[in-house]
Amino acid sequence: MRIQETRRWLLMLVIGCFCQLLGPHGNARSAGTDGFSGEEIHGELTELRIAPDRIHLRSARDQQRIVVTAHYADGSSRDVTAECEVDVGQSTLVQYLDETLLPTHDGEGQIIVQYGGLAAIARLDVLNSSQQPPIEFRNEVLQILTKTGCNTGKCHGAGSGKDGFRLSLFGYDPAGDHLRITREQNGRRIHWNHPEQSLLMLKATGNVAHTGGGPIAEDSADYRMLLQWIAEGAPSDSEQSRIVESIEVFPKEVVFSKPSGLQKLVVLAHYSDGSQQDVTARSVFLSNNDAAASVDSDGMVQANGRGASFVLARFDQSSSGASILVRPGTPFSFPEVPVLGEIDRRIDERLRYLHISPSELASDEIFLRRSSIDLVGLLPTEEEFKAFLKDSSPDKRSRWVESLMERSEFQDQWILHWAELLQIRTNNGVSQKALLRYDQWLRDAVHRGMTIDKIVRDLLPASGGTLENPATNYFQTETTPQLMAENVAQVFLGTRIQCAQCHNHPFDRWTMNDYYDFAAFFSQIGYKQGEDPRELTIFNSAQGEIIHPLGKKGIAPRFLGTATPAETEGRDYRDVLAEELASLDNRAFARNIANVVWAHFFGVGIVDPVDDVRISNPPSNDSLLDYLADRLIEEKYNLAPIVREICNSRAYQAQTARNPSNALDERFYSHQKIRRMRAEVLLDCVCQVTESNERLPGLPVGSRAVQIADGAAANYFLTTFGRSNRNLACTCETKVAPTLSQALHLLNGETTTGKIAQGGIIAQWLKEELSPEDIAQRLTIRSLSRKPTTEEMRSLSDSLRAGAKPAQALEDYFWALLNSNEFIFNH
Amino acid sequence: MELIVFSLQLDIKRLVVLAFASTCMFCCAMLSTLVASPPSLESIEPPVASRGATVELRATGSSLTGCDQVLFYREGIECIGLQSSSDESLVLQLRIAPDCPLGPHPVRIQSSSGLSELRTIVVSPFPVLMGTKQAEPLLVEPNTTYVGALSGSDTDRFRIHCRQGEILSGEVVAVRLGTKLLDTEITVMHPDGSIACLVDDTPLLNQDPCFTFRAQQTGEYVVELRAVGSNADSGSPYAIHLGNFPRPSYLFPAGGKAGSQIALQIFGIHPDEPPVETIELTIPDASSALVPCELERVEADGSRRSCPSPIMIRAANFETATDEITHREPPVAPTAFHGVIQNNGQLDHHAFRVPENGLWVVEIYAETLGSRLDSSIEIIDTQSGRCVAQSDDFDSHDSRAVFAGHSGRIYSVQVKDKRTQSSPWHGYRLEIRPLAPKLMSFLPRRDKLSQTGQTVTVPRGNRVLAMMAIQRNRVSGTASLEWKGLPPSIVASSPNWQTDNFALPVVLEASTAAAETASLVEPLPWTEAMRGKFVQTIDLVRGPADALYCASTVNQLALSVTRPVPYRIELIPPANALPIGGTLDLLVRVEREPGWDAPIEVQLPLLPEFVEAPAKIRIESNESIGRMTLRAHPRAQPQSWPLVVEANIANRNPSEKSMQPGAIDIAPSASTPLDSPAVCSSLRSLDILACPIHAALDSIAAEQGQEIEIACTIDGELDDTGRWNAGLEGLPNRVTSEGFAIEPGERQLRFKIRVAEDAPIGTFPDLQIRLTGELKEQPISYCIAGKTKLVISPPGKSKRDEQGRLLSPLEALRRQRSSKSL
Repeated sequence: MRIQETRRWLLMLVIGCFCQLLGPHGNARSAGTDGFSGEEIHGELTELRIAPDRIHLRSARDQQRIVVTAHYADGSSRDVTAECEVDVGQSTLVQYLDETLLPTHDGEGQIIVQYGGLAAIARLDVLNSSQQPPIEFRNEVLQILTKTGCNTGKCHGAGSGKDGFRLSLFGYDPAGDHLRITREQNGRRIHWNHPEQSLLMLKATGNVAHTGGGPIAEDSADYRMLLQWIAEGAPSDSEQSRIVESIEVFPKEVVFSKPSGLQKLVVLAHYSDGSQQDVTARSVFLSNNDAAASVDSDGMVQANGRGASFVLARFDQSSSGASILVRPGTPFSFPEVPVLGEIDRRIDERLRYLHISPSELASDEIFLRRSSIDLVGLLPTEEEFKAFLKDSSPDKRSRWVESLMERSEFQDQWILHWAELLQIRTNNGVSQKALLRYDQWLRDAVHRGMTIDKIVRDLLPASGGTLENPATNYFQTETTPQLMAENVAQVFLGTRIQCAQCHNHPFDRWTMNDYYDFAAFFSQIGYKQGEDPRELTIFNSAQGEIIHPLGKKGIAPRFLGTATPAETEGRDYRDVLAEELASLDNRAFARNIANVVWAHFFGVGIVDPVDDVRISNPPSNDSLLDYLADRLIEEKYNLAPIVREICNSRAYQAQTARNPSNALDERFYSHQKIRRMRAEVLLDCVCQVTESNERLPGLPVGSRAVQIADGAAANYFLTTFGRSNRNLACTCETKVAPTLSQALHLLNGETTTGKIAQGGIIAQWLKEELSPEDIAQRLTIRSLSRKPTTEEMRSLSDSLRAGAKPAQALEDYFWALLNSNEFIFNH
Repeated sequence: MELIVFSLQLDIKRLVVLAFASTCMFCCAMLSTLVASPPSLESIEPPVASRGATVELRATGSSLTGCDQVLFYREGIECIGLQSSSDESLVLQLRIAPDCPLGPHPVRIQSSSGLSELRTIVVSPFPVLMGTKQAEPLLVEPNTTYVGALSGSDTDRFRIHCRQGEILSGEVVAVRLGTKLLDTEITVMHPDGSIACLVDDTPLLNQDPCFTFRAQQTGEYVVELRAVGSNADSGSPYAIHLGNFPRPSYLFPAGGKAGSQIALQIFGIHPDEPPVETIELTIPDASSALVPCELERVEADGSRRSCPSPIMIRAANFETATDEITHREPPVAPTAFHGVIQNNGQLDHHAFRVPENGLWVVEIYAETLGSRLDSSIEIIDTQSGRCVAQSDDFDSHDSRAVFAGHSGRIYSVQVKDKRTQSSPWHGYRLEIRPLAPKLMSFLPRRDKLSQTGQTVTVPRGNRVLAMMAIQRNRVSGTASLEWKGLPPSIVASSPNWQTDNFALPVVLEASTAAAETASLVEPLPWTEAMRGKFVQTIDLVRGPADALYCASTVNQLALSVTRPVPYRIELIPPANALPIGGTLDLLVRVEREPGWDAPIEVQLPLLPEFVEAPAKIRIESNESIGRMTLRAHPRAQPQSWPLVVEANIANRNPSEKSMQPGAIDIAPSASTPLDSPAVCSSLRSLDILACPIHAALDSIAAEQGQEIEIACTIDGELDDTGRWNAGLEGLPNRVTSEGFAIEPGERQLRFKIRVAEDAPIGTFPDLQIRLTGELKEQPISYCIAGKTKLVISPPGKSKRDEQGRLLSPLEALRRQRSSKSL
């Protein structure tokens, strides 16, 4: 790499200007600037809550842990279970020991807890308090193995097991696990006469050689339960045995006002027979952000630093969680900021709760550039820049947004998005001709005003030849029902169900049944060769089914999240699916599309990644996502009104510069995000400002990179800058992270120097006898949507005074502009 | 004297020089006969000629100098002149007859070195206009054929005047020119600039678009032609016919009885639109075949306007059932029905009566004739209500089922669209006819999607081998070939095809007096029951993934006689049969022209199952006889097998190895005979027989360091006129046995086996005796006493009986116990 000295100097100058532009907190994530002093200020105690507030104990073995939370005026909460007074009443229904209720006698009653002058009541009923029911294999034995990690992927839950013993991953196959524990290898794992001599027990306690050590202590309750189960004859569950339908985590929301705060969690399982049980001790806990709050295996949450975290609890095949927020306890007053619509109102509501102040509005220049890149993938022209700055009317930003949305380039942006999600590329047998048809089909549909729900309705039931009906090419991308189901769920519902193909999803609600029932929608797709050798015909064969790997039975199609099979009698399954999926009643679809749209303008989704909706990855602002989904449904999936509303919001128009309170905010939209332009847009912008052309595969000269039809088409610049090659139905395919090779390519490659020369605008302007200063100004405006700074102009003058030829000095200046972060990033 | 001496010396030198020069010239002449390549025909420009015109077309390729003949597979074109301007270019002067059939005419060019690839010349009914690139749309007169070329994102534009209500038609011939995969699309714009239609692929013409519609406006219509995806290969040729001719995108019905007249509905751009016009068509006289028809419209003034390309119509030798007939009484097979699947999920029923017991074919003609129907059929026996046959796809999306019909019984055919789609373009023709036998000969392809080996080139005075195959369906018995059109100077000899034979060698021999010309011949297969036909499909345009886009099917084989090659080979007829399990040496004799001494490589192209031979043998420059050993595996079957050897000129330097698969041969060495045709021997017969002698040899046991003797007796008839040596085969390392000569009449064989002290211990199961000798001057060997077991044990460990025979462990144990008890 060899950069001319002048260029290097200029580059440093422009980068310096950009840093100034961003302000002191431009892209910082420095510690100690967020005002989180660790001081705990709660204000007035407003409420005391006990959880659970209805307690049912159904056997001598049942017990219930309680958690008492104090809520304060500043919105924070505190675990006061150890500090409060607990009154179990005059009756002797239960014994309160170690914050846990143990049954002693049958009957009904209540528990009263008191703290800080407030009280909370929980209702209580106890039955069969003297009876010890048989140990349940699935709900107790298997959960002990899950809790101790025996059936994880790195232990016996691996596909081929471990050291000769295999369990289903996280216990998704209880019947199989029971068989393997009790019957496999001639039942060597169970000693029926001496349960304590069972290999299962000896291994679990580490009394014989065991790779996993001795995860269960001999004096523990888990040990005793396993022993009792073997002593009882290691029975399996009957068909009538209760199974977990859902779990609940208490408290559902915790707001810490200082680091190192502690909060106990309680997990309550709801069973198919209507009963409930405290399963905290046998639940697995995970935090998705240890930096904010971590959780130990007992469900104790500890605040670590400012931020939000979601603690997931998993028991059997059910998951639920608690939202944890750690924020300063310092006094906070939300600043007076303009609220430009419902979006701002909902964001502000969240920010208030988080004690975060939003950033100021961005300048006209920055807004002009940002909105232009986001809406049409191009930079504002010099004329647009001048006209916008000259305009002093209060609604000029709205009118500017409107004008951009009327341009065909606006549609191209969304065509690119959908093309990536539909994986339009030449592979898997998709010929070049079929690809062009497929791309043209999507392009026509969007330009004709077809909304995404209608596109889905056309796409999923598509039948015919891949050349005759281009939408059918979707079924060439993947050709197995399983992979199709995964893609559809990920692309249109933002849900990754891949895990559930082999085992119930460990971090979400999806079971293997959900997976295969959903995949069954694609089980009757017929393929046959078309008339043209490049053509494949896709049709509804109206026969065939998918076989569930557990039980080996055929299954009926069922939508994700519903309880009963879909009505498919006499219909193309895909038709039924498309109808349901793109229905206005399907909020999952609406929320997903809303999230995709939002992420386009903010660089981060409300659920992020946008295609990873799951219980353990909750939205950063559920209310906002709900609102956007509602709006989409209201507008029948017409994106324009939503886009308009987003672009006219204060949140979108905010500066990227941060203040002390939002310095660490990455997901709550208190400021705009500095985003590197995506590869196609960056290339188009380089071509635009240099007035040059890029020869793009399969497109006539003058076309833009966002119009490339084939995701597999080769282009070095686009590949280097992380264009999605559409291999996967994952938004992660598009990469916007800066890399060294990108920097090197811009510094030394042909894209900057070559295009400056190809466009020849400096030579042209010099020919028109424009002064170097005027030319520098024009170059800066068209590249950065701002006028050059005095320092920048001085540097140019210095260069000219030093004897540089104007053309060379200006080319260096232009080169430095194109290499600056200010150009490459949307800010 | 000195002068004389000098003069003599000079003469000697001159003589030497002259001799050397003449030798070089001779060698060059010889070499020229060998390295002269057959002509290669890359393209013909323009590839379209007007009917009734005399035209000059330029053929481009290589080795075109010396081409003196053009072979036309169809009637109607006559070559009136050939002029070679260079080795790469040749001008053809052709006279196109006024009644020349329209469409592609396959041609080849011949020189004394052989035949070119097959290319096509398309005959148009319209004047042909050669293309020039213009910025503005080119104004063309109605009913003109424009010939142009597209590259990259080129768009060629045309203007054509049309009055409101008149028919405007266009047809592109691009892929069908048979040169490149130029996939085109057409956009037609009304005079007001609005789009009248955008056509890409069409049902009848596949990748070549066509259109026809009645003009809504009077004025100049603009027709734009471009490659799909703007990615035409450089200079991809096309022809476009524009005018008011009939040009169906789809037509209905697709056939009728031969000689009958049908009203053909001509459909235009879109399936939802009614037919553009209806034209009366007389079905050509053919018996149950797809036949090309010229579609003509008779204009008001009595003139005729032809569709530029022939359309394919199904001609049958039976009536098509009408609604009136079917309402009264089901028609009697053979019969046909026409139908259209107009509604989604529509199920058509057609009943018919079978007049006699036998196998009946029910066949749909739909997709192959442009319909959008993806048919699926079921044949129901109306008496039992049972489905007797069903079919979805058969070669194409069209269905074909065969069922055993009972005399007098009524059957019903249910026809539906498998994809449950419908439109007026979902028409079909359904035929019910007796299952007819089929017999067809063809030349199996040597390479996929290539024209290699699809012609036969016989050097004058020599022989070549052609592998011919016969496909038969319900034709049993011995089949033979009858060569129709074979010049008298060429003799073809081939064995008969038995029922289970597929491909057999055919030897074609040209006399030394044969003229160096080409001809189209028909190797027609025949049996006592029927006569078949020859079919050859020549691949013209291939696409990605080895897909075939355009091919030409012909019924004649191109055969040419070329200049002689300087050698002949002959296979000396085997005097003995090849014994199963044994070997037989074949002798191949090469006869070289005086002064020519290149080495020859010989191979056996066709061997029966379980008979092996070397891949090839080399007969060096100083040799005239080659020896090729055949080895029959014990699983070989006794039979008589046609035998022929094929020879080619070998590399001078044996160290020059032949190309390895996948290697890139950038520059072949000078000594490589590039294009010398392979010649072959006469057709001989090889008998494979069971081995005439046998011997029984018990299992042999020996210990390390031991020498043993074994004996066996030959059973059977060993010809004592031969000299025989006996030897043991299959001995392990360090175990030896010397062979010995067998005296005449001797039948007892004794072998001494020496086992070294360090010989491997174990059981060696493949010991056998081979008798090697020469019988009737032909080396031959017999394998007897095969699969004998030799057991080698450490010293003192083997157990044998009193006769020295090996005892099994159990027997040895028994004997040991019995001896103890005693």
